Formats: sequence, C-alpha cells, structure tokens
Amino acid sequence: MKHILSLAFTLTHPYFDDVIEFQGEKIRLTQYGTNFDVELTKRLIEQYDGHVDVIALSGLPPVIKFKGGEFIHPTSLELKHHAKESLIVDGQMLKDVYLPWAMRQFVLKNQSILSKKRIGIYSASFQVNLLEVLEEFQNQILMADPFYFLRLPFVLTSSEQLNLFMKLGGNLFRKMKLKRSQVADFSPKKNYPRALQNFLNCDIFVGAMNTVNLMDLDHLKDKILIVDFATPEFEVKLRAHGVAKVVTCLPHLDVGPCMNYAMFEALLQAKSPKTAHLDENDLLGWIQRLQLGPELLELNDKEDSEKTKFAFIIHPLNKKHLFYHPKLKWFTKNFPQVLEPLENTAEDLISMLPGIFYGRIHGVKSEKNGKEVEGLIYSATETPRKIMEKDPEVVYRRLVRLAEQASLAGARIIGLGAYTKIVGDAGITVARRSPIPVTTGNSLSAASTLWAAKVAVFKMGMVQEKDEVMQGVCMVVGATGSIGAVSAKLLAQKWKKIILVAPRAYKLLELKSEIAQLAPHAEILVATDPTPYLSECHLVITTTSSRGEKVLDIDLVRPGCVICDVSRPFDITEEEALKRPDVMVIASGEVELPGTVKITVNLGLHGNVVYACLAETALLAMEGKLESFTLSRNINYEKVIEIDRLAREHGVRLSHIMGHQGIISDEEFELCRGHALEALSKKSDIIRT
Amino acid sequence: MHILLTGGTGFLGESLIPMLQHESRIEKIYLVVRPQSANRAQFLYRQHSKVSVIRGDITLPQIFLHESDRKILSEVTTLVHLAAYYDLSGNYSDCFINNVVGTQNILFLARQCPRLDALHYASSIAIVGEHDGLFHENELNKGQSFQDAYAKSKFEAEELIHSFKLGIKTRLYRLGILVGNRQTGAFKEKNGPYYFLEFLSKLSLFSQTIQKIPFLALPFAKKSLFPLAPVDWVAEVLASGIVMQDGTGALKTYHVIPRRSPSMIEFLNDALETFGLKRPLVAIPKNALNNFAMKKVGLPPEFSTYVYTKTEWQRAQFEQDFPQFQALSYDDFKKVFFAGALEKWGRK
Repeated sequence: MKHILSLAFTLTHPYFDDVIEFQGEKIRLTQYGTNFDVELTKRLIEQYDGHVDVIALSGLPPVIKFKGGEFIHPTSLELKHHAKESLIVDGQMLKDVYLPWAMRQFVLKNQSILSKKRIGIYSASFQVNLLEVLEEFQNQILMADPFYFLRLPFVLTSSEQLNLFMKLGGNLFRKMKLKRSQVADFSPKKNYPRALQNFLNCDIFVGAMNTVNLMDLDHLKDKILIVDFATPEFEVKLRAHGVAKVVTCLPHLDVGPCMNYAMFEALLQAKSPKTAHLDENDLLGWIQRLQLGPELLELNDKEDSEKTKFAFIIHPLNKKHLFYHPKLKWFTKNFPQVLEPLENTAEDLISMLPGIFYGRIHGVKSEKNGKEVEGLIYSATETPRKIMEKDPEVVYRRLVRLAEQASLAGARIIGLGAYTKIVGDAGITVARRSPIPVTTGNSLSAASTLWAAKVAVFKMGMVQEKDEVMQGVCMVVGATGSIGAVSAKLLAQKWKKIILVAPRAYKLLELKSEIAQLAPHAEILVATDPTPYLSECHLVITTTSSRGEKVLDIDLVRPGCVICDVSRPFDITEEEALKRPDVMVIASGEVELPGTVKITVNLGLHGNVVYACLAETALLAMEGKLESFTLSRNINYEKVIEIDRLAREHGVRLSHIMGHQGIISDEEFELCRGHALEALSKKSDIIRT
Repeated sequence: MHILLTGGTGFLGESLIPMLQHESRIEKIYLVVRPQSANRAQFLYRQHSKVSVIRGDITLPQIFLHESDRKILSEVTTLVHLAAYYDLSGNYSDCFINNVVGTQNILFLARQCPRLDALHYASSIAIVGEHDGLFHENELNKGQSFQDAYAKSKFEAEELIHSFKLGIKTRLYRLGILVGNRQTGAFKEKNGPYYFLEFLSKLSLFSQTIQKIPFLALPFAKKSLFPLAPVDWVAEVLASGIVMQDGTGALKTYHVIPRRSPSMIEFLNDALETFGLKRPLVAIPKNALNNFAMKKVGLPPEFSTYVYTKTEWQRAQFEQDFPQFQALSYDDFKKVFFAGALEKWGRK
C-alpha cells in the first residue's frame, strides 16, 4: 500500500492515520500538525523518510515570485529538501497550474460576485496567481502585505507596489523566523490606522485557510471569503462568525480529512507510476480528468441585506461654519468672542488642508425595497469664497481625493454638495477621475424646487385646479437655461398658460415648439422682458445667471404670486422680498429621507431633513443605480422625471419650503395670503373706481 | 486472550509481564520490542512461556521490522500500549515522535487486527498540566498549559485515543508518579521524586551545617499533592484491568493513584528526615528564578509543574471498577520507598 505523510505546519491537531481510497486505490494517509515547530517538522520528515512514498508539506510560506526575482523563505527551502528518499511536495505546482485557470472560470461564471468589487488580500505575495485574475476583472484590490509581514500600517493597491514591496522587503523576510505570532490576527477590535480600517471594510477577502484560521474572524461578518480550500471544521467556524459566502478554490474531494493542495498533489504523485516529481502536463491531465473547479458555499446568505454606502461632500458655507467641527463645540459655545477675529486667518489656513471625513447618516431605509443605505459625509475645507477663488484644478484634485477616500471606505457613489458642484465644469472632470460614480444632485434639486413651488402655490390658494391643470399663469424667467427649460416643460403640462422669458429670442422659439409638442393644450407665450406680464402671473420661476443684476421689478408682481428663485446668487434680494409682504418668495425645497434617519453631525438642518442633492445621492444608492446620474450644469428633462419617480417610490418627500431666511412656516403663508387678499381687493377697488 | 504489548522492557512492563504470565485467561503475550532491547527482553522473560518477543519500533509507520511477524495481527485480541518516552527534560520532538507518533501508529495497527476487542493505554496524571483544582477522570482538555514536553505529548496522545473510533473496549490508565516496588523498594528509573532524593543525598554531606540553619527554603506549594504510586501496585491494577470482563465498548479513564497521596510539605519532611536533614520548611512561591535555581542544583526545571500545581485528581471511576485496590495509601509504602532511595544514595 502506498503511504503519504502530510505535515501541516500551521495547525495543531489535524491528526489522522487511516487508509483512504483515491481513484480506486487504497492509500495510507498519516497526518500531523506541527504548530510552527521547525525542529519537530524536521524530525518527522527524518522519521518517515524512506518509509513513505510522498511527504506533503502544507502551510509553509510558498515561493514568492516578483518581477526581477523570486524569494523563498530559507525555512521553507530547508524543509522542502530535508528528505533523502521520499518525495516532498508542497502543492505549489498544482497551485500554479490550477488556481489561475480555475479562478478565471469562476469569475467569468459569477461576474456579479467577483467583478468591480473591493477585494482585500491578506498576503498577496503568497497569492500572486489569484491577484492577476482578480485585477483583470476591474476589482479594486487592497493588499495588506506590509501589515501582514511587518505590522506596517499601510496597504498596497497594485501589483507594481507589491513588486516593489517584495524587492525591498525580501531580505528582511529571509531573516524572520516562522512563528505563529508572525501571522497578523486582523482583530477588528483593535484601533487600526485608517488604511487598515479601509482594508477591513473590503467586500471580499482572499486568503489561505492555514493563515485565515489563525486570525480573528470577526471582520469577516457578512463578507465573502475566497480561500484555497476549506475543511468542514473551518466552514463551521466561518458560519459561526457570520461569513456570508465562501469560495473554495479546491472542491471537496471526499477522500481525506483535511484536503489541501500539498496533500492533493501528494495523492496525484502517489497515484502516478513516476518516481520523480509530476510535471505540469501530468497535473493538467488530472485537473481535467477530475473536473476540478471552485465551489461557492452560501454560509449566511442575506440577500441584499448588505448596506450600500453613499458619500456626500459638503463644505463650510461661511467662515463661522469653520468652527462647527464637533470637537470644537465646547470652545465655540464658551468663547465666541475669541473666535471672531480668528475667522479670516482660519479661513485661509484651513482651506490649505485637504478634506476630512465629517460624519455619517444612518438608518436611511427605502419604502420601496426596504434596502438600508448608509451615508458618509465628507467635508471640503474651503468656504464658498475660497472655492471660487482657487484654480478649479486644485479643487478637482481635492474632490477626487475625497472620492477616493470614500471609495476606500466602501461608498459606491458620491454626491457633490453646495459650491463643490459649481466649480469648473460642474462635476464632469471629478467624475472622470473618481473611482466611483459622481452626481451633482441637481436633478432632484430641480424636482424638489418644483414640488416646493407647487405646494407654495397651493398654500397661497390663488389658483384653481381643474382637470389637474392649474387655471392660472406661470412664468419662467431664464427659460432657455437648463433648469429653466426643464421647469418650463414640466410646468407647461400642469398650467393653463405659461410665459417663457429669456434674453435670446431664437432660443425661446425653439423651446416653445418643443414644449408645444409636450403640452399641446397649454397657451405658450414667449418674451425677452418679463415686465408686461408680471401683473398676471401666479407663479414666477427665476433661474438666471445674472449674478445679482435685477431681472424683474418686484413692485409689478401680482399680489399673492409665488416667486420661486432658483438662481444662486438670488435674483430677488432679501430686501426686495421684504418690500412685498403679499408676495411669497421661496428659494428651494428641502426633502426628508425615509426611515429613522440619524445624522451624526450638524448639516444646518433638522431631523431627517437633508439637502435635495444629498437625497439624490441616497436615492441612487437605494435604487442601486450607481451611475453618474447628473453632471454638468445642464440638467436633463428625462432625468428629472426619473428622479421624481424614484423619489416618490422610495419615499423621499418634500419636507420644508425654504425662503431667504430658512424654513417658511404655515403661519407665514397665512399672513402672506392675508396681505395678498387685501391688496387684491384694494386693486379691484381701484379698477372699479 | 492474545495480547500485543508495547513497553514490555520498561519499568512498568517488567513488573506487569510476570503477572500476566500467571493469568490463566491469557494465552499469548507478544511483546513489541526495539531491536536494541530484544536480547534483553529474551533474557528477562526466558522463563515466561507465554511471551514472544517481536522486533519492532512504534515510531515506525509499520511498527514491525519483519513483514512475516504481521501474521500474528490476526490473533491479537487485546492491545496494551505502555511504551512511552519518559524524560521530564526531554525535548519536544523526541517526546512527540515517541508518544504521539508512536500512539498514532499503534492505533493504525489496531485497525489491522480483525479480532481486536480491547485497548489498554497507559497515560499519566501529568496530562493535567498546570491545571489547579479538581480534575475528573472523564475530562481531558480543560485548556491547561504545559511546562514540560513529556506532559504535553502525553496529553496529545490521549487526544488521539479519545478520537479513535473503533468501538472496542478502551481503557485509559492515568498513572501516578511511578516509584519503586512497595515490598522491596527497588526502582529502575530516575524520575521526578528520585531526582530530588538524589539531590538530598548530595546535600546530606553538609548535614552538620544544615542542622545549624534555622529553616530550609524550598520551592513548592504547600497544598499541591504528590501522587506517588508504587510500580508493582500499578502493575497489579493493570493486570487486573486487562483480564477484567466488563465488555463495554465505551472509553473509561482511571486515575491510578493511591487512596491518600502526601501533600508536598509532608513528602518533603519525610524525605529530609530520611537523609537526616530535617529542618523547618519555608515554601518559596513560584517565581522567575526557580527554573534557573533548579537547573543549578541538577533538578529538571519541569519539576516545578509538580511542586506548584494544586490539582486534585478525582478517582470515582477507579474506585468503582477496582474496589480491591482502594486500601493502599502513601503511609503503607513510604517507609520502603525511602529505604530504597537511602540504599542507593545514602551514606553507608
């Protein structure tokens, strides 16, 4: 009877000694775990040398190949050549031949699991074979080799970096002793630096069972693990730790207690009539004959229960916001007078720093599919003034950097808030350079503004609704602009009469014919000057880029009119608005997110109310529509319709109508309506007399 | 009953074989003996008609040196595995090869015996490691740590026995610290207590000086027990266990130690008195320097496991199945025991 000795270098108790059957042949298989004891491993090899046919050595560091050389740990080398008579195999050749092929087949079949994901490899230098395949499928790969070998707190992200690391570190590793304590445990309880935290946040982990078995497995909860092989005991352990899925590259072969590459190669070797080591051709033959391939085991399957993360970039809206950081709370509360003279200096200094991680939004849960998403809020350090002052290229770089950070932290889409979406080409460059999709959120901003306008008109109660058509007049100032055109198209379908105002007549005529097709019933007027029509409008939407120039004379506006000022800076100044208490000037609509939302930082809003652009990012995450949805200054009519539909489905609703000075309450509406009614009755008196 | 026995030339084996020879139920005793001890075995048991010596080595995968000897496997009904590498200061590799690999090979051999119906395995009470407190017979892994390679390897070997599933009657004897014959005091191996006694005999050269010292400070814990067991008594237990007819297949473990074992302080006092060194004793608590000090005076550092561990070996199963062996206590054999030591090292 053939006899195989299997020595598991990293294990303690895999004792086995029995006759197994492999491909119709009975083979005695003896196994010991030597628990990193080099002396004992040598003694066992000596003891069995000549008495067994093949010795399978597993758990030893493999040959590490990198560009310009290869490296093998002296202990591995010593042990692998310790026998004089019996053949020693370590499974390396089988791994080299089988793994890349098998993994590729598997990824091709399971693209949804293994492509475009963030994959963490504990010790990539041991798994260069897999690395190549995984990189090919556009996965983002983080390699913890520096930590694994040397406890250095950074990760590698490309095979070039790995090559460099191995070149530099090779001489050092040679001198390291193989010990259990050399294997990092990756316990998530420890307070790791951010690079490693990011590593632990990967979706998928790749490792060898021998080493993963020695780690703290808590960080694998709800994750996918790719291992070279898995014993039943190891599977039980993974299941207990809440691992979602396991991909084992070597399937269960039902021959031995603890199959691994070394042992498998040993079995093939024992089966072969050859007395020399098997070559690649022999192995290829076996792989085909046995129809080997990776196996996917669903351990704790929770369909779609994993949270999608989205990120959002904000920035301080004025100098005072610079001191909003939670850690400065106590200081700002007690010494406001100290901070005031510091503001300018702080603005200059802080804007030199890169952006920071600011806080989180928890508990956003879709009403449509129950999916929970988590928001990561990043903050740029520039105030609006600084953003507009700086070279757009500098701002882009900072935004892309934040997007990279967010991506590492697991975000799948990132939204640009406030002024960050106005810089330069409004997101296009950032989206091109960012590792994850970028959206400006303007589609939902536009939609929510129109919601706000609709609600405001309804609250003012000046217009009757008949057959879902408002029996009144609305005007869009700046109608040929992107928001203007979208608003005009939407309003034309709901209003009886619409007046389009823009400086360039030819564009207006184009728009008019376009709208006439969408809303055949509506009466459409075009004008280059709003003045003659102001007195008859119930709703005016201004969306110009006049930068503070006067676009309409508020004195001429009809009492009870709702002016929705979408332009930034505002077209209607606060002073102007105050002149007409009978006219409602609104600025935007803020929305609320579905679910029991908890925001850990101060966004300047209350409860689950957020900026519409942030809500768009969250919506896209909830829908799983992870694409650069809105970019550039032009917003698209179809996109607005789509995001409007998504918002309704997932439960994103208008929560407040915002004016120049924040939220407009119902009382303010009542007051304004009162003034308007009074003014209207006066006006009709004048007309009568 | 055909017995295959390992460790036949060992301290315990030499006492056991004559007893087995006299058991009428036993027809044949095959001793697996290493080639270098084969001649001695032949000589030792030249008058024992039932004994056959087979050359073999339990550390080899096939055990038997001559393929022709394998035919006896079809006869064997009982396997007695006593062979062990007993050296407190032995290195782990040696202990592992002999005790773990040896046991695994024996278990593999057991599978080749078609008529096998019983397995008797001599373990050691040392497998409790540094566990303080009560240790039941049916317990094994209580997360104990080990100071010496011997105890660790015996523990691992016992785990092998536990995981061995052949469904035959399996008896595990955790033996106390073997000391000389309780009638003659004769001993062969220099194990734990004998190391200490030899040390005392050297010290007794200075007994005049020592008598002037107000007290002796020694490293030990007052409450730790010293479970000595005379070798002939243990052999009797084993012989009786081997022929006992209780055909249950389950694994049973026995703590083979006398009814009463001395506490460490009691044993030390007796030992010092033997060598004329009796002084009041002061216990030095466990500390980092102990191992160093022990090495200097020629005691194996692993000795400290014994003098500091406060284990209490529960022996309910042993009492139940071997009622006839419950009389023996430390008081019954201590005189002969110390006399034996004095004879060897004492100043005439």
